[in-house]
Amino acid sequence: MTPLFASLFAARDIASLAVFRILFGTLMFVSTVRFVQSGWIDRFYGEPVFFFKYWGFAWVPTLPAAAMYAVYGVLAVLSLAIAAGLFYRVSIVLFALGFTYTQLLDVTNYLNHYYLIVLLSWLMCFMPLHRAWSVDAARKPAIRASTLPAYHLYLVRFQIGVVYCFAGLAKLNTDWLIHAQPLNIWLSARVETPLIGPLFDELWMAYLMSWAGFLFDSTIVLWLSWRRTRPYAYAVVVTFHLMTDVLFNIGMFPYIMMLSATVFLAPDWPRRLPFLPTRSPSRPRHDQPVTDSEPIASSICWRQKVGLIALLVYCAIQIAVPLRHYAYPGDVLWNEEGMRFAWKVMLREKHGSVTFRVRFPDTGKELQVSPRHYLDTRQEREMGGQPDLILQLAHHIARDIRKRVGGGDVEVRAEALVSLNGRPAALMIDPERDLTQVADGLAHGDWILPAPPGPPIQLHARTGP
Amino acid sequence: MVTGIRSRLAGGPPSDPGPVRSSMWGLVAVVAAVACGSSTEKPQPVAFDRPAMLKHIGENMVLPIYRSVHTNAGELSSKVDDYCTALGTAGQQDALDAARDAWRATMAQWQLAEMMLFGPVAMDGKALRDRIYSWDLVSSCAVDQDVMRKHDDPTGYDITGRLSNVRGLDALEYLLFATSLDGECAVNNKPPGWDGLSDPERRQARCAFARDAASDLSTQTKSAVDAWASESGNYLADFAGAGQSASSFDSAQDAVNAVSDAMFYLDSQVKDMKLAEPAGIAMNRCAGVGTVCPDELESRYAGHSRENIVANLRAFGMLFTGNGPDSLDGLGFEDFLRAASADSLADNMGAAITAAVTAAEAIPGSMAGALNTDIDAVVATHTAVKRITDDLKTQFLTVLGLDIPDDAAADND
Repeated sequence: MTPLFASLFAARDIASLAVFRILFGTLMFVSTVRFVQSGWIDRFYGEPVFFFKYWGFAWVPTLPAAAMYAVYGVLAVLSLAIAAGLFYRVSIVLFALGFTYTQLLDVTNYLNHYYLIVLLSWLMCFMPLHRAWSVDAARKPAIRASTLPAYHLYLVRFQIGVVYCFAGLAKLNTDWLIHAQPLNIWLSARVETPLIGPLFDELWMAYLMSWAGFLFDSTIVLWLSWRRTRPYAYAVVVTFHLMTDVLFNIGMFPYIMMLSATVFLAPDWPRRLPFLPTRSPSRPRHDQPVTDSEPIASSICWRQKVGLIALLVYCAIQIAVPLRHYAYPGDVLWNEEGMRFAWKVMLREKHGSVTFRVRFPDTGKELQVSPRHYLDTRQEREMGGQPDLILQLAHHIARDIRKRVGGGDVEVRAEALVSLNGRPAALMIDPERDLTQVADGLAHGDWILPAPPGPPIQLHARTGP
Repeated sequence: MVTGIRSRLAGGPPSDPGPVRSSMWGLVAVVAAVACGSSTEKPQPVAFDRPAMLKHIGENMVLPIYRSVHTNAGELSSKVDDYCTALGTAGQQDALDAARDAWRATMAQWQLAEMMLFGPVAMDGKALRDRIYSWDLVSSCAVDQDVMRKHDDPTGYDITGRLSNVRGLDALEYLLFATSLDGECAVNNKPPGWDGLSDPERRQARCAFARDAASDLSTQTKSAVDAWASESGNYLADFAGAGQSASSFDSAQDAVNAVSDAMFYLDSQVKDMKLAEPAGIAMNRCAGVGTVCPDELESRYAGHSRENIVANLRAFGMLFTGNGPDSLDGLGFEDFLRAASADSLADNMGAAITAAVTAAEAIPGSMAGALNTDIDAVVATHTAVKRITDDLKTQFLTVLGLDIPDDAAADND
């Protein structure tokens, strides 16, 4: 066995991943209950009359709101089961399926942290995280284990590392670093934050926080991975995410990241807590592989080889997908090509005003169609800055109008005025292009106009008149 | 966040807890300085005074407009009484004209308030607003049916227990301005007994109901005044004191956002429903693409649609410029934009508002007439209003860090 394989299959204390499972399940339970309590099931699934579908997933059926309550109820129960380690294998697979289903229903529901939950829950399907501190382990002593092969831990660390690193890389742009936008805009609207709020109207504060955010995201994995800096880095993680929780309306994201970052701590860190049992019979040193319970095999079997290849492919995809926007021309913040699944977190302040112009070639008559006829305000806001969603709605409008007028040719054009990071609104889509002739897909959209030149707005606080 | 950042910006080794600790002290020092209001050598810029803008909007725009609506509603109630008394006499038409004038005066004020639908009138799904004016929910047929209910049971009928679509200014408009006494119901919905009434009896029945509706309107508009006035409900304090512990608003920015939400009335109601749909620019209930549709007009019985649009635009202008109805100048969104260095946007929006008011006022005669004779004037007004709403929905929101209506509740990242 090569040193690499030896390292991947070395036995590591299961404790940190077991705690990760408990915290993940608990957080998902809170998140699910919060979602239901906030009335978001009706709002997200019941009220809209049109749903934006992911490319390739238009076939996913939308259930009525009453059924979605049941789905979320089941997700809540599964979350508790995951936390307790009860029927874990079944629970985590059903949870992954169910949560992924809820995310596939409408693109406008996309949030980076929801995507992270999808990825983590699918990864957890392949990890026996119920072998310690679980009801399953209590019920079935045979599955109990105090260690797991190290690649489980590395994989979760990799996933979280990808989030931070690409979130940092995404901030490597002139709006963020040179013009301190959109933080300048966001902070100016938060001057009433207790204690430090008055500083938010200062331009230097926007710069400070922009650079801080960039440096945090792009380097925190390094500091978390280095044993000497780890405690301080984790303290910074907690401070950073609590700060974002106070300042921005980003739901469970800060807590998911605080939970997830615990995987960078020593694998046995929970055993150092006074109220948790220590490992028996022997307790491993912090980062040292433990070899007492599960000796490393001298050679790897074919299943492990297949697993390793799958793991490598997964990792390659996780690195390639966030980088895919480099394959598209133009500014990703403007054309959004490669924006999703790329950890471009809280990166732009973007508002659009979209009017569809429906033309009937037979008569030459034209109608203006407001997205409001098909979307709720949240969906309209999300669509307003995302060309592929505008294209989807244009296709839907064409179908709907054809049905209303009893068939015939219909052309649909979009007048989409968009303001990015406070710039004057500019056309995002070629207003002369008939969008019914444009196919939805992954290729670059030549119907998307280039980003407007010039820097974003820079807000300065001034004494009011 | 600042803690971790400063340690690295200072170039200190990340593994060294020293810079972290020192930057903690730095943060404490900064916080203490802010909390204690300590001065520095350089004068500190002052943030835009949101509470002052809110106070001005509440005190000098919303409350005076509500008071004016209430005063006019009282006058309207009195004129409706006079009209009912004059029915069958030589003074009937003059009394009706006076009642109609009173309705127009009340509506002109209410249309200013329509652009300011935040606070008590907008709570509970805009329940109070709908009791005062429920367009576009109004149902003339439902009014016909309640006219007959009142006729059949004059003492037992209680309008305060009825749905909003038979109450308020829109019901009164129908009762005072509809010329046909046949009613608006389809044959299968006609109120039982209506066909058996003579025309004078029908007028009496409508007038009796109008009395109730006018009295109810006066009561509802008083509720709006009372809810805001400092001597009663004092929502003014809640609004102007947004962000303080006693306020229902977490921050003044949230209250500013509520005002901005209300300003979207210009987009959804004025641009789309009051202009685009009747003009056939957008889909409407009339058959045929691009067909004008007078049935979509607001205040179509009174022929008051153009005046309503002008009032809406003027109210939008008040909120934007800060110039109240009594020419009381104060802080508005224009000042907010300028304080944020968005002078160009402030200039553009100010010019667009002026142009839209001019375009709306240039519509000749009534909107119904213009739809047939001068559709270009209506289209030009729509285009002018769209220029405002395009800025409102894009750069205005981004620069001021505001959310679109109903959007703040969802998570983001």
